Amino acid sequence: MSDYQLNNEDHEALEKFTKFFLVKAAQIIVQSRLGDKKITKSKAVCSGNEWFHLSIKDIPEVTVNAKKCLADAQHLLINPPHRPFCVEISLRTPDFQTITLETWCISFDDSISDPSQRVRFNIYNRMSIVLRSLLTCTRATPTYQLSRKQSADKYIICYKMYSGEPIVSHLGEHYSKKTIGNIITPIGRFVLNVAYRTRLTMSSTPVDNGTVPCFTQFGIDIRDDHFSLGKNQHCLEEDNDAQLPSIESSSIPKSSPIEVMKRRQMSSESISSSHGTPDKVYYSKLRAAFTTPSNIAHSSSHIGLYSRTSDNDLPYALMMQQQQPQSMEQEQNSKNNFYLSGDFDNETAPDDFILVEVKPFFGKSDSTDDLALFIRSCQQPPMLESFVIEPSLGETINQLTEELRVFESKVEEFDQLVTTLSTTE
Amino acid sequence: MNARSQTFEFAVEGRQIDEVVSCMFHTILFHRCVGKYHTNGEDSYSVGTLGYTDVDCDYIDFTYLQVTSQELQRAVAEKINQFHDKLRSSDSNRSGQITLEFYQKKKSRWMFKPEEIPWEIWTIKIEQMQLSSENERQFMREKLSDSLTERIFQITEIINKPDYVPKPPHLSELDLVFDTSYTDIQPYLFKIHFSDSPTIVNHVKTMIKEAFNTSL
Repeated sequence: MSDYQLNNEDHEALEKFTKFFLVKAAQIIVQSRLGDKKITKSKAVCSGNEWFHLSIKDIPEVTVNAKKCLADAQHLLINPPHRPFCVEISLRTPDFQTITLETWCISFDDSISDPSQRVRFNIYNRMSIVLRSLLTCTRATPTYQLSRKQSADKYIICYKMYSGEPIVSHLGEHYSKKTIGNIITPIGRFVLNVAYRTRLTMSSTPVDNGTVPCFTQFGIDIRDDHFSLGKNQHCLEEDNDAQLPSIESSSIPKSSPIEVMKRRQMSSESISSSHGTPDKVYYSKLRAAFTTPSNIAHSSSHIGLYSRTSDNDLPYALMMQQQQPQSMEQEQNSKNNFYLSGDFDNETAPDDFILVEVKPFFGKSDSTDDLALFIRSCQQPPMLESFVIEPSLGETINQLTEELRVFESKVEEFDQLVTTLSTTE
Repeated sequence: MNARSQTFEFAVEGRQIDEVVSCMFHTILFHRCVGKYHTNGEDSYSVGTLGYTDVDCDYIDFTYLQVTSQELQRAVAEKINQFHDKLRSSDSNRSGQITLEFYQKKKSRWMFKPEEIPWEIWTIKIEQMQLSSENERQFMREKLSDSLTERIFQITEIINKPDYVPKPPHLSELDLVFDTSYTDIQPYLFKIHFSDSPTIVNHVKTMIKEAFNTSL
């Protein structure tokens, strides 16, 4: 631990910079997963509101969530016990299946420090550089391309924030970890990391009641009778209830996607460090966060801001909101990329990232359907003729000469056509 | 003073050259830029704000970030286009390299021009490929996206090392470190130069071909 003590003024400045650094980092991460391109202006003269000399617009919901998360942590990152600040990005399908894609983490290590670093100049500028690295790296991970193709009928991207050790156990095997940057201060070092999933499958865990797990296209373990009519109706009725179900009172079948998530998070509890599970978590649908300022007051009830006091609470409120026509209208009004993702199930190399089933618009999801077959055939287009047939220069010239002769002989017809096009009624 | 130098190699199709080089250079320039300095009197100044723009590539499945500045975009694009034209116009030589060099000026005595001392050099070596099938093209496109991802993280790792960066000088000597000709931003002094040297080893192309053949 560093023995160096900052004076009060510098310590206050560092605390202030840290808070804004964390909030801006959260803004960058969340905004990069909204699914659209960003453009902000460079200004020769700053207006005084832009932190770190970067033009980063703030989404109010994200700022509110981040500040609440920091406040609930009780101690700021730079003060012991130095609880890291994490932003988690996940994918949710219309069937409410969720896959965690990334965990971004800002931690503070008080064992490495440099007393020569000046808070108001060096550290502030270093924070600016690290935020720029974060901006570029958020575009580089595979999740960015996924988020650009999200839509309400395929999948949406969600985020949550928490204070505590980053949970990486639900990123699957072979997840990749990268360091974005670090900032050395007189009392410790900030480190910004990202861990991201490289395979879009979920690992199976044996079901407690001994039934054999079977895999959907996402590789989630479900019971054989999971899709029976009675239980599905029961689940829908539960969705209308605004309250989050607790484990004891829930009559939802054990094999629901929520239960899968609970099991996974319970297993992650044993893996996470002595800091334990996150205390407060804010889980929001990114689509709801993507609102104009005029819509924010109106839509705040739909955004689904709530705090989780334990890991066992899950965002049913968000799923309930998805059923509401008002939130659907918002999503339809926002930009949508109607991208038909290809059927990659068994045909790609093992390390390929994308695994999304073809769901043709207005068509059956059966793979024998004509539309699905057509889409699949388009994934492997035939070789272009020009690669196979390569006429020689002489042949090409002869062909051109013939074509010119034909065109010249029909000059009058072309003139008549042009005349008919140019006449107005 | 020795400039630190970093080289990246890519094997790409002709139409991908511009986007690969732009992606790399703009990622670097975004980190090697400050807001425009605005003097408020003799000794005080304020620093402007940098905006950013997402750019989608047409021939690669990738999006990169650049500083929002039309002047900078034009200056960089002009050099990259010249490099592209030189490379593609040469029938015999299918490889070349383009360099982004950051330098600072040192005042010299008398009437001589200030000395330009490089402190950071980024070189991109390009090997042009001729692909004959759509499958091969799709495969190489995906590999290129992965390669660019790795390079972006490498760039941020290098830039975040505590290595030498010229300290902001006195306001009267800003021109020795920064390019103050831009109206909305202030990048460190840089220049871009290129060559179509035929001495690039073809092992990159061979390696990729082998990787493609073994994966089939």
